[in-house]
Amino acid sequence: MAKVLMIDYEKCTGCRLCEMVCSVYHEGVVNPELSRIKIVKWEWEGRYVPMACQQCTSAPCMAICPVKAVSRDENLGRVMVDSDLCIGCRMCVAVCPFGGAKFDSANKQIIKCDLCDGDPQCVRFCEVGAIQYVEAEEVTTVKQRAAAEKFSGLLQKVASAIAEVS
Amino acid sequence: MNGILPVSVLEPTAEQTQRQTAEIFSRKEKEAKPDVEAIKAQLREIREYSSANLPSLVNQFRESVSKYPGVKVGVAENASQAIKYINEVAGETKLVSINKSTVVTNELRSGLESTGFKVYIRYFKEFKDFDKVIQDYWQLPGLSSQGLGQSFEITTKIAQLEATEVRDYIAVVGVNAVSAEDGQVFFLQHFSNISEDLNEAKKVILVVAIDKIVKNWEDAAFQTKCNGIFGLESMTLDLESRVVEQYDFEKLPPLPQGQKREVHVLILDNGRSALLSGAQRDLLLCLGCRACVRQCPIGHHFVGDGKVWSPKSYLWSFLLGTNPSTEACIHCGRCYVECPVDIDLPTLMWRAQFEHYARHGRTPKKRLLDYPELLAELGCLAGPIANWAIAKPVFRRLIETMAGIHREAHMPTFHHESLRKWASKRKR
Repeated sequence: MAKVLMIDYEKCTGCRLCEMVCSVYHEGVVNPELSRIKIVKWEWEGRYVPMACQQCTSAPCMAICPVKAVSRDENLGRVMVDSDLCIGCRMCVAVCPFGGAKFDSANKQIIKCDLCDGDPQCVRFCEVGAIQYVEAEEVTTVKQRAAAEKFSGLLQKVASAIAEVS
Repeated sequence: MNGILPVSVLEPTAEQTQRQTAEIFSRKEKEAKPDVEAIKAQLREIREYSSANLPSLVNQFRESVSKYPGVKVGVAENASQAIKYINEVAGETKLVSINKSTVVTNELRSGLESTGFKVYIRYFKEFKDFDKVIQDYWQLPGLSSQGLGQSFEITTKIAQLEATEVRDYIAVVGVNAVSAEDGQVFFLQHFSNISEDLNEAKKVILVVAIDKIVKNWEDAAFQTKCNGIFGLESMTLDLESRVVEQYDFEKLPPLPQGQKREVHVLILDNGRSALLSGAQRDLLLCLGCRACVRQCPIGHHFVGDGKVWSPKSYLWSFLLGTNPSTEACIHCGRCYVECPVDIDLPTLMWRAQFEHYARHGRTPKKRLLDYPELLAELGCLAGPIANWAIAKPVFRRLIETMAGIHREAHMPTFHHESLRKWASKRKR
């Protein structure tokens, strides 16, 4: 089973280091515009949400591409754009609900997250661990565990409350 | 007013969707995303206002656009006046780049070519050889009905851009919407042909068909966005790697620095204000998104003649007299289903054709073919002889020249005894 990017919005501090390393890794320059990941910010609320391609299984970009330049790489569980086939019509940019595909107007190419061929740099450099690269099942396990902890805490409270009353 | 006419180009962008989705991810109470029906309702309101106030909006736009000192305004009643205007503007230059606008390609292109211009569409330059995968509408994923494909935002404002390299050619570009209040101009692009033309051409002529004028800039931006939303999938169908003569505008030597560029706004009527009083008034609601092409079963037969085809432009060119009939339309009504502003194109096609015949009459050939009952009766009378004749290529050629039925068309087998006769002879 392929690994996915697990993003914890509550941990993100909005430092945008991931944007920098992403553009350096892929393009060799520090330019957040060319980054595959983007931190959407609401500064006054302290709300930071990292947005990147979700590597959808049934991907809208794959469905709309008129030249089938978008394909799925099952090994790494990622959606890839073949820049040789891409004609730059930006259909994928228009249909992606996450804003995962961007158009680089200087090089006339579509850029999107390719999980750095299995070693995501954003994960490597994220100080606070807001982005993690984990097995897909693990996302569920982590969530289940968090919910279970909350739940058991609640049960204990209820139990102690009952014990006090009786 | 700073003197520069604001021209905005809308493109598909990721920023807006990123923000919307991030909002959904991180906020507890979710705000409803505007659904397709709400967008359609707003669009219809805009279009109804603009068609109801057409003459006053034209005057208002004319006034507001002439306030920009750098802009020259031309008004053309019809295509030939527009060609004349462009000729005057062009002077020596005979090289023209146009965009894939219905107005420019269908109404002005042939006139420009006949007056000695070399006309090219830069749009096709960006995709020469490729394997087109989506061939027909049933291969389309239908994403726009799921609310995907709404991410069009203003990316370029020409007022902010410096012309770095001006080249000696003329750009005749059809706009998507303009604002009557302040004269702002809006374009939609998927490729970069329009912004290149706006940046590089020595003389830019913005062709404004009068039905593109809306109340204010917000409405104009919204209408342009809707052009993208509703025409998205039709655009995929339209990507053909057809053999189009190309001209490499980038090879043109840049003119020396400090060249003065000219911007013209050409307001084109070409029969549109005449629609106001007629039965085809609903056509003024059209925003030109070409959603009607998406499922049209006859659309394929019109690709390749260098024009931008859509059921609406098919009817429109019939009304303009450049297209002899609307009878290829099979009135299936799919364009009506697709249309975001509910223009009943099939009925309008019928009406236009009826009115045409009422005015100009029908040829005897046409009368004969319009009367299948008579044809069937004659065929039955002739019975076996007719069948024998139909099987002979010589007669089929004759029929083809006389009645216009193709020699390879499938023809019915006639029976001397009609069904009714046959039934009445049988015992009950």
